[in-house]
Amino acid sequence: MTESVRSDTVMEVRDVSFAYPGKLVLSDVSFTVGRGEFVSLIGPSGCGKSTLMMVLAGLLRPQAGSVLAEGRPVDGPSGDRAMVFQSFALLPWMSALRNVMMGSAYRRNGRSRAHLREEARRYLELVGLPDAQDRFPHQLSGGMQQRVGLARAFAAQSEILLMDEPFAAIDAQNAEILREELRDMVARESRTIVFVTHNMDEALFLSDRVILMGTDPGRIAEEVTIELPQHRGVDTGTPEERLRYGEYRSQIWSHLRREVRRDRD
Amino acid sequence: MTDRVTVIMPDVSPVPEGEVERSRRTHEDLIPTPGFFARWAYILLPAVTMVLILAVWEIYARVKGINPLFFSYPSEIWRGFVTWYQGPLFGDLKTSATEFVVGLLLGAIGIPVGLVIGSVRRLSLALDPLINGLYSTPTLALTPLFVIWFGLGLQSKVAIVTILAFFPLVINTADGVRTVDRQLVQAARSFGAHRIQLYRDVIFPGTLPFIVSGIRLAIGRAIIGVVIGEFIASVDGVGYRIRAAAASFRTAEYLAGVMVLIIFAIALTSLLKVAERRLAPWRTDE
Repeated sequence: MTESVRSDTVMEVRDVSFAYPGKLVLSDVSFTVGRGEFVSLIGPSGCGKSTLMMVLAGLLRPQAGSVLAEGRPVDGPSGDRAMVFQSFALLPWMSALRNVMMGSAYRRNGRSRAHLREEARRYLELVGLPDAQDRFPHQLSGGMQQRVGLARAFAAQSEILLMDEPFAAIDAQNAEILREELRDMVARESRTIVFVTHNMDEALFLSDRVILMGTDPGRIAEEVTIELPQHRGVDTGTPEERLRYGEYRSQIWSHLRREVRRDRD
Repeated sequence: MTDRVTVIMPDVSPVPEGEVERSRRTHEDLIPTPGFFARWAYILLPAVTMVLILAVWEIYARVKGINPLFFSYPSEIWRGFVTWYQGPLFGDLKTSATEFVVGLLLGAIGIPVGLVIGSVRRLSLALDPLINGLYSTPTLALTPLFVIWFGLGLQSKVAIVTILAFFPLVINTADGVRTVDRQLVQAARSFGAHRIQLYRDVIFPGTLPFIVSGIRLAIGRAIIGVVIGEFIASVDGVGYRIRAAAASFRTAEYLAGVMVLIIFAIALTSLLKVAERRLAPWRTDE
């Protein structure tokens, strides 16, 4: 939020291009993410947002360009970047607690299992599920499952959290509540977040900066720095802030409309 | 035709404190508690079926008469079983059980083999025709060959059971690995899981239901292997006894052997169902 935080770059994406056989998905994507920053990537479907996320996670290797995390090149998944998935991706055969522990268990750094369990319990409480630790994913609602997903990502204690449309598969009311909770958690835990979404209000509500992506091939079109107080919403804040919210929104919308139209023609 | 509209007036008469308490209790009573029959239906219903079949069979045989050479009936089969029990029953059971268990355990090598084949695309491309071919061929036709190789004792039957159990386990396990949710694999990898952790936490548990189906198939085929193997070449065992009794027209004794096989198969299948519920609760208790 503050100027001093921005100065430190946590993640740097340099001219990344990615192609599946026969199709260029990402073309010369470059951007940086500062420490403690909340950056949203927004674009029409098919702009390669999710592919970009996989590249950032190290699950996909780009054909050209590089990704630097904390100054080191990313050459595979490492757990230094925790992920939250749209489909939750919880292990059905593990209790909520063990799912959360999974976030940290693969890189224990000498921490005992008991310690990890305690930490996992703490994060489940933080996401409002103190009583769900022994329940299995199929016994939880979608919203609750994603809370577990969030707890797992935060419990991994990694500086960078990658979230791929985490609230897209959750009903509207629960998604709204989860957004608020995510905002509060991020404020408390001070992590760096890269967030993929196609929901403008979600991006505006959460982000310090919104990166607009174009399609065919996926590329960075524009960046919008959102200067709004941390507690914000469509209908809160001073009249001037609401006005600014509206301006950001129409700026993003006109871009999205242009891209979707272009894609359709 | 007249449209009649009935207006239901809300009951606004005040309810005294005690009444509220009582009405709440009445609502608790509305939750149905399953009765004795509902709770035990899963045991009672199949038991009733069995008893009915046996009773009809017995009565029909007694009233109409059955040529004991061609067929038999429950009480006569029981008598055949008792004769067998006084003779070589336990020796036969021991032989057959040993063949079954050892063969199945050796066939279980198919599980790790399937894990590897399912994980390595090129390997599965290379081996699929071979494995599917061998799975579909009536491997029992190889029995005489095994007898030549291994003789009349345990080994030849163990070899048949092993080869019969191996292929369904390989095929099911490999299929299971291929259907594991890729997103789960990505999640585990993104949190830094190494290969062994990935297999332990994601791929193996994800494949488990397929492995259990494989085991179910393998058990069925292993029983066939034991019986047919003993039909062809053996000196004892349940299959041998069945054939020997049939060959000398001791039909009741022969059917007693078949009954033992049926009971054995049902018991194992039920056991496996219980195991499945234990191993994969997320699939069954919805």
